[in-house]
Amino acid sequence: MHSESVLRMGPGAGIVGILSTPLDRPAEAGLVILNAGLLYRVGPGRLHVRLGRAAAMRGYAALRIDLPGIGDSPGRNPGTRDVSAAIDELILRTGVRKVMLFGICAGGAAAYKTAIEDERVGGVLMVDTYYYPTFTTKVRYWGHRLRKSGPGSLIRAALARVRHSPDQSIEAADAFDMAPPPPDVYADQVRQITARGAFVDHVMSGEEPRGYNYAGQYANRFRKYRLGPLTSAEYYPEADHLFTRLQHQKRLIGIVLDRFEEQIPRAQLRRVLARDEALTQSFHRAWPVLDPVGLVAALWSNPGFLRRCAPWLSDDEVRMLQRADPSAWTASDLPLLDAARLAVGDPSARQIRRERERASAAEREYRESVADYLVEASDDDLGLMSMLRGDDLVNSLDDDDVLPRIGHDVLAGPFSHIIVDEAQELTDAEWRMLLARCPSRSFTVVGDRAQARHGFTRTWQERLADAGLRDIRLASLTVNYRTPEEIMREAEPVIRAALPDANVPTSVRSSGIPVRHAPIAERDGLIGAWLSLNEEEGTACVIGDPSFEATERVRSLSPELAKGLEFDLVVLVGPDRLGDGIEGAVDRYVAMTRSTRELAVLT
Amino acid sequence: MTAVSDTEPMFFDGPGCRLFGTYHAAAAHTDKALLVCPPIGLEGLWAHRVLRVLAIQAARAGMPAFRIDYPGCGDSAGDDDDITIPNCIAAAEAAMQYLRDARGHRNISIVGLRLGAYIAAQVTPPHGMSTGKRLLWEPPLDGQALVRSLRGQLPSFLAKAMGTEPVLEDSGPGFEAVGMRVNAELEEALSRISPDSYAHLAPAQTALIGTEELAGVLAGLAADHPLRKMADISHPGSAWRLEAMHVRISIPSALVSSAVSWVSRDAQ
Repeated sequence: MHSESVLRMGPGAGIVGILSTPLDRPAEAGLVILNAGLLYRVGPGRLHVRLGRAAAMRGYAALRIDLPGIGDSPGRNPGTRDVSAAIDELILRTGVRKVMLFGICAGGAAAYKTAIEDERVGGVLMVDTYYYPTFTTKVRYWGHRLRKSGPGSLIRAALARVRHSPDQSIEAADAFDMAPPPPDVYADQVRQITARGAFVDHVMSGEEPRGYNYAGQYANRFRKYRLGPLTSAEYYPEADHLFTRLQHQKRLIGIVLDRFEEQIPRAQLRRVLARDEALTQSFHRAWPVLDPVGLVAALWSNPGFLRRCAPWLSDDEVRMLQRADPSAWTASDLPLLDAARLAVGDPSARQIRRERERASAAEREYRESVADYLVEASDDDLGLMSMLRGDDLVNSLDDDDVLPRIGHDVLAGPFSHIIVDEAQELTDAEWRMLLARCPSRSFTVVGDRAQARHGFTRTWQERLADAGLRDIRLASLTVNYRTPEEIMREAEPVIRAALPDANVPTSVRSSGIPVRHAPIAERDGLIGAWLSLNEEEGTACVIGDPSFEATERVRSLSPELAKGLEFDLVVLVGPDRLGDGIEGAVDRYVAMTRSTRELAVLT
Repeated sequence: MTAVSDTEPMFFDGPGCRLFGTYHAAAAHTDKALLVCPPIGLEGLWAHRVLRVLAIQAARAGMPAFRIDYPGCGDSAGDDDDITIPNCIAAAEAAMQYLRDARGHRNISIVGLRLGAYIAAQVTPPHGMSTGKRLLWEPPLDGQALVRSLRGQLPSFLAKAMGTEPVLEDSGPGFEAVGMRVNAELEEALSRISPDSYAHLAPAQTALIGTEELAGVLAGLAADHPLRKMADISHPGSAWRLEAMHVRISIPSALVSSAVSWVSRDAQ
C-alpha cells in the first residue's frame, strides 16, 4: 500500500515532484529520482513511476522530480541546489534522515555532484553516467567490431568518428556537464563521499560498448586508488541505455532497492551482531526499546526529564505539570502522544513485523526442503519440478493469511484532503497532528471566531498561516439558518461586547416567539409546560445548571458540551454565572444560539 | 515564462482510481476550457513537452487547459493492465466532470494527439456539459496498422539502441511495446479503429492535423465522409515526433500556434 501526492519545492516552489510514501508505516529512508536527460519525471517507459511505487511498498519515501526546465518545472540551468531543495522537502515531509539519489545518464551526473556537496546523501546510484574505459575495454571493443564486420568497417567507423564530432546532439550532456571527472579527481570525490558511510554505485548497460563492455571494468580501472567497499559497478550487457524492456526495468528496480536495503539497515551486519548475546544485552541496556505512551507519561512524572525536553519552562511550570497518575490522559495529551508515536514508532507493530518475517522465513525454508526432495525424487526429463525453485512460484506460494497481522490505524493518514470543523478551538499542537496526516496541506476549515472559548482575537488568515497552512482562501458565512431572528437580536450584543468584529450571520427566519426572561425558580414549570405542549416530538436542553437531572427529551449540559448541538428549546440558567471576559461571553453566545426555536433565560 | 501559480499539477478522482492532471489557468474565468488527451506509451513520453507548450499557450490565449494522464499512464494510478480504451475514455470524462465541479467550466473543447485523438473523438460530455471544438492531431485511422507498428516498436527501438536485432520471447496474451505491455483487450480495441470511428463527429466543430500519410488515407475515403469535411490545419514538414528525446527537445512552434489559435478562437 502506498500513497502519492504532488509537491512543489525549490525557489518559488517551481520544482514539481510526486512523492510516493508507504501507507502503513513511517518511511525508513528517502529516495530522490532525477530526470533521465530531458525526459520528464515519469522516466523512460515509466521506470521512475514503477521505481517510486516499489520503493514506497518496501517502506521508503520516493520523490520523482522535474528539475528546472524539464517536464513541468519552469526555469533553466538545473543545478545541485535544486536537488538539495528536493532533499529538503523530502526530509520535511516524511522525517527521513537518510536520502539516496538515483539517476540515469545526466540524472546520474546531477545525483553524483549533489552527493559531493550535500552530506545528507546516504548513497548515489548512477546508470550509464561516467565511462572510464580501460585498455581491455578498447581491445574487446575493437576486437568485437573486427570479428563482426571485418577491417573495412573499422576504417569506416574511424572516419565516421572524425566526421561526426561528439559536439553534435549532446544538448542534455552539455546542460548537465556530463564529462566524467578525471580519474584522480573522481577517486578523491568518491573517497570524500564514502568517508561519511555513503555509497557510490554504478549500473552500466550494454548500449555503449566503447565505454563499458565487461564485468569488473570499474574495479580494474580504479584498483590502484583503493576506493573501498562502498563503491562498485554492476554490468548489465543485455539492457539498453534507458532500460526499455520491462524485465530489465524490474531487475534495475531490484538492484536499486536491494542496494538501499544493504546500506540503510545493514541487514547482514545486523544479523551477525544479533547472534552475540552479550552484545545484544548491552545494547538493550544502553538503548531500551522506547514506548511512546511511556515516554509522554515520563514527562508528567519525572521533572528532570521534562526540564531536559522543555528547557524553556520555569521551575513552577514544571512543577505544575507533574501529576500523581501520569497516565490519567486528557484531550491535551493527545497531540503529544501522537507526536511521540510518530517519532518513536509503534513497538507492537515492530514486534508483529518481526514475527511475520520469522514465520515467513520458516515457512519458506520448509517449502524449500520439500521442493529439494521433490526435485531429487523426480525422474522427469523436462526438469519441470525445478520450477518449484523459481522466484515467481516461491512468491506465489507465500500465504499472507497465515502470518501475524499489523493493525492498520485508519486515521493515521496520509489523506489527500482533510475537512476540519470547529477549527477555532484547535491548538497549535492539534494542527500539527492534522498537518502530519495531510502532506498536500489541502484543507477545508470551518470555524467561528465567535465560538472560541479561549479567545480568538486574530484573523483567520493569521491563525491558519501560523498553523502552517498556505494559499488560504476565506469565505464568510452570512446566513444563519438555525437560529431565529428573535434570539439572534439578543445574542448578537452578547458576543459583540467581547469581540466587536465577530462574524455574526443574519437569521433568515423568524419563529414568532420572543425570548423569555424569568426567575430561575420557574425552570421546572417552564419545562413542564413546554413538554405538555410538545408531547409528540422535540428536544430541549438546560444549559448552565448541573443540578437539573436530564430526562429522555431534556438534556442538561454545560455550554462547552452543548457546542455543535441544537435543540427546539434552550433554557439558559444564570448566564452571569458563566463568568466575565471572552470565555464567559462566548459561553453565553454559544448557549443562546443552540436553539432552533425557543430560548428562555433564567436569572 | 509561465508563473508557478498559473499551473497546478494535482490528483483527482477517476474511474476507480486516482488520476493525475495539470490545470493551466487563464487570466480571466470563462465557461470554456480545453481538455488535452495525450498519446500512450512511448508517444506519450515524447509528447509531454509539446502538449505542455500547447496547454500553456491556450491558457495565455484565454482558454484554461487541463492535461491528464490515463489510468496506468504517466503519474496516474494503475499499471499496464489498466490501459484500456474504456478506461481512457472514462478518465477523459472524469476530467470533464472535474472541470465542471471544481473549476466551473461547462463547455469543453478537446485536443487529442495520436491515440489521444481517438479518445477525444469518443468522449461524451457528462450531464449539463457540452463539447466545444475537437482537434484531432494525427488520429489513427487504421487500427490494424497501428497494432502492427506497436508490435514492431520494441524490436526496432532496441535494434537501433543495441545495434543488433533483439530476441523477444512471446509470453501470454498481448505484447510488449516500448516501456509498456499492450494487454489483449487494448490490442483488440486498437485493431478495430477505422475512419468510421470518427464518422459521428460534426465536421464544422472538428479539425485535423495530419501527415502526408494521413492525407493519403483521407483521399481514399468517399467524398462525403465527415473526415474529409473537417478543417485541416496541418503544417507540411512540421511533425510533432521528437527523436532522441532524452537528449534533445524541439517543438513545432508554428503548428502549436495554429492549433491554439483554432481551438481558442471565441474562447472569451
